[in-house]
Amino acid sequence: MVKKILSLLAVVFITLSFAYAQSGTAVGTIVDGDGLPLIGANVVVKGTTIGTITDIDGNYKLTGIPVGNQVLLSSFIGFTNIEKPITMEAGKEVKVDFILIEDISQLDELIVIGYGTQKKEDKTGAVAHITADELNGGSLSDPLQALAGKAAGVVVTKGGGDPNSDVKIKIRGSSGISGKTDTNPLYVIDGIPGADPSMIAPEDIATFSILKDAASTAIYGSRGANGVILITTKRGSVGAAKINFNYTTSLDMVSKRLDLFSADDYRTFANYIKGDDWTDGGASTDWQDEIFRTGITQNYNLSASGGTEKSNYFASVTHSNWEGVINGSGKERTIGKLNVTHKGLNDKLTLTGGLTVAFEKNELINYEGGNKENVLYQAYQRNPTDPVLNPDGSIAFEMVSANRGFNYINPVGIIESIDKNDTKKKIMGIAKADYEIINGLVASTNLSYISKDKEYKYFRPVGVYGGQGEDDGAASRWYEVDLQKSFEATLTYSKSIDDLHNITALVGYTWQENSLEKFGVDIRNSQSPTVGYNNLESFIDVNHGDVKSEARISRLIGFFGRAQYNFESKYYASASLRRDGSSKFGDNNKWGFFPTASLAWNLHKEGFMDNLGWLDQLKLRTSFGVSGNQAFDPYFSKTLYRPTGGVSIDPITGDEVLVWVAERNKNENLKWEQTTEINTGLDFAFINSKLSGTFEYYSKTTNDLINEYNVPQGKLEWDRLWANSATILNEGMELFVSYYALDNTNLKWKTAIAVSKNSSKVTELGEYWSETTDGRKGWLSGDGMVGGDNWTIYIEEDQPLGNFYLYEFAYIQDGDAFYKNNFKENPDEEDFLRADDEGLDNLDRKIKGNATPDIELSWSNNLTFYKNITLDFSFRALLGQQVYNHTRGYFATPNHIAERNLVTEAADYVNQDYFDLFKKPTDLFLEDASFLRLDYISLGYNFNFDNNNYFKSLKLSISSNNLFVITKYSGSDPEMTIDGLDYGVDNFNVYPKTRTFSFGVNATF
Amino acid sequence: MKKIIYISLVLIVTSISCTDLNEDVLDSISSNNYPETPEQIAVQHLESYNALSSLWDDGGYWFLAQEVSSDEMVAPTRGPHWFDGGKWLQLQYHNWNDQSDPPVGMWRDIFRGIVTSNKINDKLKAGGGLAQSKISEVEAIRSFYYYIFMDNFGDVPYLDKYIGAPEKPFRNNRTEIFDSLTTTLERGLKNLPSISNPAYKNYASKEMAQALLVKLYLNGKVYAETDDQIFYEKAIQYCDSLIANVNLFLEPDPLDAFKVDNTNSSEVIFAVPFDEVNKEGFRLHMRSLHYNHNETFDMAAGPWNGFCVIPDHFDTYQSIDKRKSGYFLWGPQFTYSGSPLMVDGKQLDIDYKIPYPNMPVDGPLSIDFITNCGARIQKFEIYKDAKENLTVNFPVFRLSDIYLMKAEAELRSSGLTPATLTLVNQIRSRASIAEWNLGEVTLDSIYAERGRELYAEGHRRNDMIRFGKFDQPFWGKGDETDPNDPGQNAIENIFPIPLNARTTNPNLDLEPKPIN
Repeated sequence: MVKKILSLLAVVFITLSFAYAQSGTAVGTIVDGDGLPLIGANVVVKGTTIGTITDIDGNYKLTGIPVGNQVLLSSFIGFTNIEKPITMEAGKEVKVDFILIEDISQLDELIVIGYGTQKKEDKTGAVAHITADELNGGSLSDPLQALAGKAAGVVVTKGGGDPNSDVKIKIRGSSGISGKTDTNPLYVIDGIPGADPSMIAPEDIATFSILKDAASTAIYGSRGANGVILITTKRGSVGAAKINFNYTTSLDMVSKRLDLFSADDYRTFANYIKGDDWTDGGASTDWQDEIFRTGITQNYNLSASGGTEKSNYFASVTHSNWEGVINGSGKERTIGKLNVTHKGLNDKLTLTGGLTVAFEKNELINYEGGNKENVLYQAYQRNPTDPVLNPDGSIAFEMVSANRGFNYINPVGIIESIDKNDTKKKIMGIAKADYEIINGLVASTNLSYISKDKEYKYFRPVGVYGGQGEDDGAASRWYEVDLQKSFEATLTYSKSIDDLHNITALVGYTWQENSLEKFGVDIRNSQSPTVGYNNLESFIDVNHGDVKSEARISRLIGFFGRAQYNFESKYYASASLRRDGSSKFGDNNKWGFFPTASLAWNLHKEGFMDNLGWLDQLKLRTSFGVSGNQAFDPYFSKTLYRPTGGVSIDPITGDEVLVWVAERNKNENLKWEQTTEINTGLDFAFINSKLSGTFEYYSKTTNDLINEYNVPQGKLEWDRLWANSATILNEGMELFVSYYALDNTNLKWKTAIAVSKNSSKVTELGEYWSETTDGRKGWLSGDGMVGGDNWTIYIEEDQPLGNFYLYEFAYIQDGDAFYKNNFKENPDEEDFLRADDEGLDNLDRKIKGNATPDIELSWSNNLTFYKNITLDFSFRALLGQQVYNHTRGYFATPNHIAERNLVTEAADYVNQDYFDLFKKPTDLFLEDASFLRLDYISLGYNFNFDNNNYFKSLKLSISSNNLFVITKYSGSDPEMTIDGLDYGVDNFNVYPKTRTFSFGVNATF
Repeated sequence: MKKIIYISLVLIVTSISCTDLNEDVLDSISSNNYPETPEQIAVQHLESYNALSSLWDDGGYWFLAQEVSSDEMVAPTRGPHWFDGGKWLQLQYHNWNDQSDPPVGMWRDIFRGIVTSNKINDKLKAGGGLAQSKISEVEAIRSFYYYIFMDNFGDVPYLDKYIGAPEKPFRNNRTEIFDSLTTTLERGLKNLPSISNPAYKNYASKEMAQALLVKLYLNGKVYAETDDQIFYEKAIQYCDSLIANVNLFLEPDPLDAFKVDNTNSSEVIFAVPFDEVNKEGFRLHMRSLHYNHNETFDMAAGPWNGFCVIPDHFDTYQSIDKRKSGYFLWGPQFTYSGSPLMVDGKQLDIDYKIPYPNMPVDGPLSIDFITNCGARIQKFEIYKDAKENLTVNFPVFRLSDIYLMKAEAELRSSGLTPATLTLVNQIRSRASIAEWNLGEVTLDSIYAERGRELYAEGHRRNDMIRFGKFDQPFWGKGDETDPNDPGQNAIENIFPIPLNARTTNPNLDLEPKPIN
């Protein structure tokens, strides 16, 4: 009502002023700092509605300017406003030109937050905002890779270069102790929570918004605790259709190989150690040559976008094909995307539709630990004197000698003969309607749907294992349907009273259902080397349990509300509350509350700051919030009966019956993990916002951690129970600074640094934690290493997660390794003991390092030379973490030369003596894995086509991903995927990291 | 425009009513709904047997722990193979600890069998009087779990109910558990089904309960810590019932009870069923046979070249003993078709004299010797196309054992009777070795015969304890000729209660309480 009166008054006032005054005209051009015309820039007479926009050449003509002293205000999105005073005389024309400077502070930029947007200036929580032009490019199989090093406190890792392996993100440390609850952030793509970022082509992304503190994430309730990443894809803008084509082709190379003995060196070494007590296979093979290759990647992206005032569209098709650097691995993906928006009903109604489809065909290989089919393990261990092929040209599957290693299988045979692949079809769609009911009150609803189908196929013909274990051939064929349906409704009310009191209020409801269905067969005894999974009748053994299906479903319901208030954009207060329920929780704990509160103060707007001309922004904010994590499988709270007892005979009837077995103990109290976080931040911008940044300090406590805890038996059948118990504290600091170091016509340089430090501590493990069954992680694999004390990582109270607890290597004597006997049960025990000696046990282990990085540091740069040459590069460092290099330990033992090939380092130990190093997990193989990597470097040239009818722009570039890495780590690559609890162990499971060289073309039509 | 508002409002209102968070179970039966049908009710008690299936391999470890800690089987470290963090050598050298895999696995899986049995028993009892024979059956199988539980761990918590069971139970005295078990089994005998229906040989039958009573009473002096003559009288009494049972008689060949389809063997009293597909869990052949022995048996799986017979035990068989060649594989080896089994260009020749359990690659032994030495175990039929898991039911109790236990009970009490000697001699003559005269049979000779006859049947550790041998030095433990014996072997006859069980239930560290 107030507004209506105000606008009425304005109309009256304007009419009156026209009636009275005589007027004049202003003309001029509006250009940017480089002198290029700005099209569509605004010019208005300040305090009036008299205004116009510039034409295609940046010219404007503004008539009807009242005589007298006036102020002309020129503005353009992304540029700082400029005001110029004029004195207007009746009927005269004055010339006023404007040079607008790009607004690098972007304080007015809208950033996406949970269920809304906010001006960057108004944020009260820890939110990082990254736009497409800041991301890494090159050859990326996942858009998340582009984020590496771009935001402080957001650790993006991908161990190895498998195009089919996932990128994992940990925001502000990891808080999970089961390894079975997902500690990755919640991804929200264009408003769809729980979406899969691998469905999005990197080229289609407009912005990432990363919600870090609980006050920002708690609007997502029981899913917010690991942080939330909001991804917004590109949309069309007003104007003629814009066609963009992007093509990249890359060469991928293994960046570092294992330094193994060549066949000649092997022979010399084996003869020296074993005399004639070993078997020469008669060939000379470099097994790494046999399995590695230079991969070629092709990536095509074609997009079209455009729009009118009423509607806009963005459509794209992306096709990519990656050849893995290990033979037999690869990925082919096609993504189609369409975003449309239409306004109707006097622009009160906005309809938005988004559809994404992705098709993948992936060639898979195995590289898991001590698995028989682990191609890397087999290539590393295989004797270089063994032949790849038999004299007749067939693959040499049979072992040359019985004294070769256990599970000793020809890796070329695995790659050539085992067919393992999957195809995926993913569809994601959203339909959204926003309706402005009255001024400032908007109702929104959306329906979204994600369907992910996967078909997995595997066929291993008879004889691939060379007669080791069951080798009569096997096939699997699995189909999986993963569905998510969600419905959301919100009401948002925004109101500004006299430009002093600014209020935004939100209430909402969300409903989501996830289901997973699987159907498949695992079948044995193949009767054809070629038919395989294409005809399952070609197998003889089909038994009970070989044909399987699974189904599960879960539902999540949330109610939420948020109120944001600020006074003159100076003082801010915000609070939200979410009530969240999940079917996965136990019957006694179905619903949880997730409250937040935050305050902020724009100090630079205070009068006492006015005389600090260099200060553009100084903002202090603090927040408190409670969020949750419920990323565990359904039914953990329930005892389920499953027919796992197998087929038995009912002795009374003589019939075959299935025995149903209670699968787990039930826990009706099972609930979400709860994170309580306090965040304090400082935003600053100096020297015309050339230097700006953010500092954050946080402390977050995650309690009620979910784990399958060890429990006493007696009342309970099983010794494990899914329950909430332990507590972890993560504390840290983040600093992000960006600096426009140079801004000349011929040289522009923008640089940004992100630093984050996180420290974690397990503060409580609870009553039902067993150090022996729950605490031991990071199990090693290999021949002679099943179970026992072959663990490396240990979880205990008052220590961080990921501590390496290892035996301390002391010295070598008479062919044996001696370790420190740190714990003596009686004083007579020796100070140093051998692996097999009584008295050397787990109590003798010591903390020797940690798998989690202490500090992440990154440095990004964008340079432009002579307007058209661009150079972008970004470094990233993870510091302070260790990796247990079991790949080295396992292959550095001279006395195993007859069973497996060794790394050349083994020769060093011969000079000391021969010994058995791997019998105990020892600090000898724990290595500093700190690294500095040049993630991305790209050199590009923009061709100018001012008057070209075909091209609007054309850019050619050459780039490299992972050009080099500086590290002391001796293994294949120091970067491990930080996920779960067992990372930090190089267990022949590191797909080689690739060094990639790419050539790219980007053309706009 | 109004329409849209209405539609939105309707959507919001209907969705708000959607607050249903019941968890729909789709691919399993929720415990609230199980059992669903009369057919499921009829066989729900079979769940009490489920915990047995893991006890023969490296999940529940019972069988492997009995054998490898005894003087008849070794799981050697063969160069780089089979060290496995030292767990096998720990069993061998008796220097296990409360975190070793075997006691951890045994405690967990045996205890689960007990609690599952209690759960089912409570259900059956709630269901009324019709289930009396099933109640006794479940109590009998629970008694078997308790027999191996207290045999391996001494004083353990004794629980006979599920509803109202303590969350953190105390231990009870083994003597009292022994009393409760014999009472429970004797009370149930009249209700239990008989193996006149051979299907019951895989379940707790009257005969199984009788055999278990013999075991318990014969070991009474160990469990009750008093050498009460009544124990032997009782043992003899139940032996007699079994010997008189028309369904039980010795098979003509010592290996007949260990073949595929041995459920119908007249010698088997109680066997745990195993199947290469439907009931996996018995893989002794994979653990023992040489890598290339799949050619000898035309197996579908290449074995793992590990466990073998301890040479001192091997030497207790006379060369004419049919059991020696029947149970073991040594010397020159042949393929299925009878041609020499060639490995690395020469015929595989197995020297049964494995020198000691720990054979590191950098010791004095050649790699060929380390790989090949030690006679392998083929007592359980390794049939053509055998896979990683055998389809041979494992006889837990069989008639030979009853014969020998009767002889032992007599020798420990009133003296060996000629009738019992005849039974023992049936075992010897069946193996083609000379029969004994009454005067030459001593407890030691019965002990030795038990070793030969019951090889690899899970009884040896129990026998050695009863005969006072388990804490003495023997091959592979406290053996002066073994350069790698670490010494300091455990003097306890029982395994330690695992640390993880004690941390979650500290009452296990307290003194045992009386059974109330």
